[in-house]
Amino acid sequence: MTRYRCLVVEDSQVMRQLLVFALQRVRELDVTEADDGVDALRKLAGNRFDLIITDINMPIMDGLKLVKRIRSDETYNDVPIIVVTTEGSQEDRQRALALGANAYITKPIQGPQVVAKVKELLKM
Amino acid sequence: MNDKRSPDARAAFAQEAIDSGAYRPLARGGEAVQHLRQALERVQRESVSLVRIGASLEEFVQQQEGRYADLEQELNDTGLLYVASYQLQARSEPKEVLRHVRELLEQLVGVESFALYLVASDGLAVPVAHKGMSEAELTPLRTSEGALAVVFGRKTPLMVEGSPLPKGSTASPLAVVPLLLSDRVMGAIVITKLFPHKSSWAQVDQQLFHLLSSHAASALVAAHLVQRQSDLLGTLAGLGESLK
Repeated sequence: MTRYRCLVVEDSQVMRQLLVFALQRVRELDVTEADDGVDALRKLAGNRFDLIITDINMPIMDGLKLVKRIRSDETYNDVPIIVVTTEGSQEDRQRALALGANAYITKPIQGPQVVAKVKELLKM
Repeated sequence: MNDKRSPDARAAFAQEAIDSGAYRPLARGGEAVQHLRQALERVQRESVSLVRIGASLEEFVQQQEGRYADLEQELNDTGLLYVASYQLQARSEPKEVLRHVRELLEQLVGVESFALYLVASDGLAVPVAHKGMSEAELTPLRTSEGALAVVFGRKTPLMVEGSPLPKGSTASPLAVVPLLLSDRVMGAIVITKLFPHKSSWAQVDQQLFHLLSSHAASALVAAHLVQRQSDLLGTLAGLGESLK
């Protein structure tokens, strides 16, 4: 069975735990958590990830900057990225997609939708 | 091709063929057609039966898919309630508890504006935390009036019905969640506005409000007591004594 590594970047413990709970439904997935963009870059360095899920609004380094940094790094520029946004923030969503994010999910998140999106991007 | 045989010879040959079974007269031909018809009817019946089985199988698959989706949703809701409960109880500072109440309302329900009130000694409910509300809206409320009176009386969350939900305000909130400590109402969360995309309540919202109602107050009080207690280990020793 092929195993996939997913990095979840979210400053809210509630949302992070909820995302991890949903992702644990995908048996082939190993999930790593990061508090913000800087923590994510630290965890990305030297590690292989198959998918990144990131919130937009985070302290220190937000999701948009993180997407930009990842896409400018050839090591990770082809890793699928899902951004988590609120329904109202269409501008953020469009900016994230323009910067190279592959998909988005909106809050309040629904586990089955997260899983479906992950499986779609990982072609599972 | 001409048959050179005499009529008698031809008749004898035909009779011999009939007797041997090599030649089926017209009567036997009719029987064969009847057999074919019967076989055709049988095939048609089987075909109808197979179509029925296919339809019921399809219905069964659809039912199973529906059940699977329901189970997935229930699992998601259970996870959400677990996370909410875990995050509330894992805090040791009142401000942290409040932050998590805010996160739960914002991230899991989709609340844009709310205020959390605690009952003061004079019986008024005083706002101690809020999000998205103006100072003018944040005045103390009488617990004997309006939606607060209903909630303080029945001690269960009150949620306005409707899809889309009507516009809310402090005077006529969209939802009021009593904060229970044992059987006593020590405050309430008053929700006045949801995010624009949230036009009605989800099934899990009610469960989440019940969870907040029974857990938020005890989490706040516990965090408050822990924060005030400088000698936590001494308190725990006392706890051990009280459990004996």
